[in-house]
Amino acid sequence: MERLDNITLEEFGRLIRKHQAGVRAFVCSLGACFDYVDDIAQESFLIAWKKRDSFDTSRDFGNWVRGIARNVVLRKRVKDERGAHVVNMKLSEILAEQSEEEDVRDPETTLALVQALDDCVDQLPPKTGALLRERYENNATASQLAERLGTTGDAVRQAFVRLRRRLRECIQERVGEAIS
Amino acid sequence: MSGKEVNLLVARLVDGEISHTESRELAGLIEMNPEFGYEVRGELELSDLLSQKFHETRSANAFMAAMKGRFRADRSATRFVAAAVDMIEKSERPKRKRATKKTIWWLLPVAACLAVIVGSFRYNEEQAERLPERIVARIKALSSDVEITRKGEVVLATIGMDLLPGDRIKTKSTQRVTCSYPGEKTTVLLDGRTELEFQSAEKGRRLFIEKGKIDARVASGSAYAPFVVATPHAECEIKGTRFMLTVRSGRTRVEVSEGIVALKQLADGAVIQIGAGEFAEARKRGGTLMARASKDPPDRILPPVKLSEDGPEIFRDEFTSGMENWEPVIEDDSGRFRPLNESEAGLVEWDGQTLQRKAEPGVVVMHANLTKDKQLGIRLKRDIPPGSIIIEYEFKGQSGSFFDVKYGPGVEWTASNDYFPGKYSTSWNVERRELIRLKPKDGFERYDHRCWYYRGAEGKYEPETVSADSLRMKGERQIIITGRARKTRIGRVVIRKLAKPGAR
Repeated sequence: MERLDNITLEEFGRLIRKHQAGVRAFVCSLGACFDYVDDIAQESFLIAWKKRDSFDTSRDFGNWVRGIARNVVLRKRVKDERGAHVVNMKLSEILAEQSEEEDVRDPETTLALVQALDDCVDQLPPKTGALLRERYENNATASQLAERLGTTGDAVRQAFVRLRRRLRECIQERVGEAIS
Repeated sequence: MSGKEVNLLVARLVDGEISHTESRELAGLIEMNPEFGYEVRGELELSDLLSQKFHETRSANAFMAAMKGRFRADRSATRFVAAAVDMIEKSERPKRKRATKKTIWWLLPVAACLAVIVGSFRYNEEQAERLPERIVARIKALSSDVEITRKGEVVLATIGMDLLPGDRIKTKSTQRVTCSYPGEKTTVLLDGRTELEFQSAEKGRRLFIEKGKIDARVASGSAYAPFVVATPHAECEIKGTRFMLTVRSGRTRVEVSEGIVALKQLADGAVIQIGAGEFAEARKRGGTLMARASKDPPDRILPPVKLSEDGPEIFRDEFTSGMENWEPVIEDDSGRFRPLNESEAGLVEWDGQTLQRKAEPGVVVMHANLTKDKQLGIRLKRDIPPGSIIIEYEFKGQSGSFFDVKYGPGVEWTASNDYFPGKYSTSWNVERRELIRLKPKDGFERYDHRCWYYRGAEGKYEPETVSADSLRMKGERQIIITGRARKTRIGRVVIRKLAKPGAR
């Protein structure tokens, strides 16, 4: 079994760059509060670096770090007294358990999903694209957007539910695999 | 629950606006239908990928930069720990005086040459931003009449004043001072009743805190690294982090908000790393040194400002425990802090332009917008007596009960339920089958728990003769809360901390 113990920090950095998007999205999918997603992902990569000699290179690095991230999220839930604000407690526990039971994703698929997302966003009508930008680029909440658009927060949330569904369908068509 | 309601629940989760109750509701739905959990995770994953794509601070480059900082902080702390351990081991080895003397005399010129070469190399690298050698820091902001002792003489501090090695600042209870390190984003805020001396060191910057409290933000990758803070009981090495340090009655407490701080206890040489969200205390007499999770966000020290009509941003911070326990305060004529009154509410508002809660949960940005020279602050609410809790309840019969719990400062209660934080004020519905136990950590004999009230017909609270059926005492050791209630009733129980244990 080949190990990662001789890898340099620079090489490890390249692995992080390759897998960071997927790992961060995975942490978020476990119900971690948004403000802590990157923090948990960083902590997971740091643990991975410290435990690099136990990693079997025949396995996928991204999936290995996801396993670490899952434990970090669960530990936040159990140990951290401020855990209520780091993760969504019971919800995170259930989502983490569920993610453990799933088949591991092909590493290249995650990268393809990210690429497909870019393409699908580019295809959105200008008005919808602008709304998406407003929400994610400027961190506007549904209530703020509703005020600007003269509608209700729930109507905006519903619009985003439909929009995300559309994007997921578009991604699935392109990659042949659904997100999550 | 209809499909539309479920969609909205998921959307609220994705938007980070879900409440504890809704989160539990969602967890229940996923437990019943695992396929739905798959959907929820997909929504969260997609939303995060969109955020990474659009938001500048979440780009791959920003993440990699933060990751580098994290590695650097970790390696630096590890090196400090290794060096400290090495130093302790060396000090424990038997000394061989003659051999040392022989070795050192011929090494001195070599070391001096090396120091000059290394020093000039470092100088070339850093001279662009570097201060003249003797200036340690600079005063950025301060309250009125702050005094500095310089070479035995007392001088009045002024904004922009350069601080030299050996300068000692001593603040009175209502005074605050902000010191900055020009050329970098490092700032040190001194709280009231603090004594701090700027010391020079061969390497890096060094502060000595005799007593009091500082709130420091040390820029990563500083030309002045390492940044060392010493106290009578401890020494900390900081590199790119945010922390709060308090020195009082034989102990030094370090609470870290970001990055890592290496803390050394001088009494026995024990060394520990404190990570974000943790704190540790070094004691004068030594003893076990361990990092523990912070239970309560520390009161933030706010920089002193001359409030003006321009309303510059004077404060920005995250409150991980939520905002409900905090209140803005202002300095009154006697120099004490009090909550803002109604006439000041128009000048400093929670959700207005001057003091606003940002869109992100738990982030506050405070702007100065007063014409008077007054100090603004933010602190834990004092409307509940220290150490006490008030539970307001509404028994709704068959549909469970609603509880609103408010904690006073410094409470140490434990709860058997995850959703009951045991520390921060909260509201929640207790289902009929649920049972929650509440216990004060320091024992019930310190509390008076006989103050039960119910809300009468006119809306006024009147003393309750018997404790309500779903909120009751058990053997004077704990409070039991259940969702089961035979009748509909609104009331409250006040659990007050006693001045002395057992005294009522």
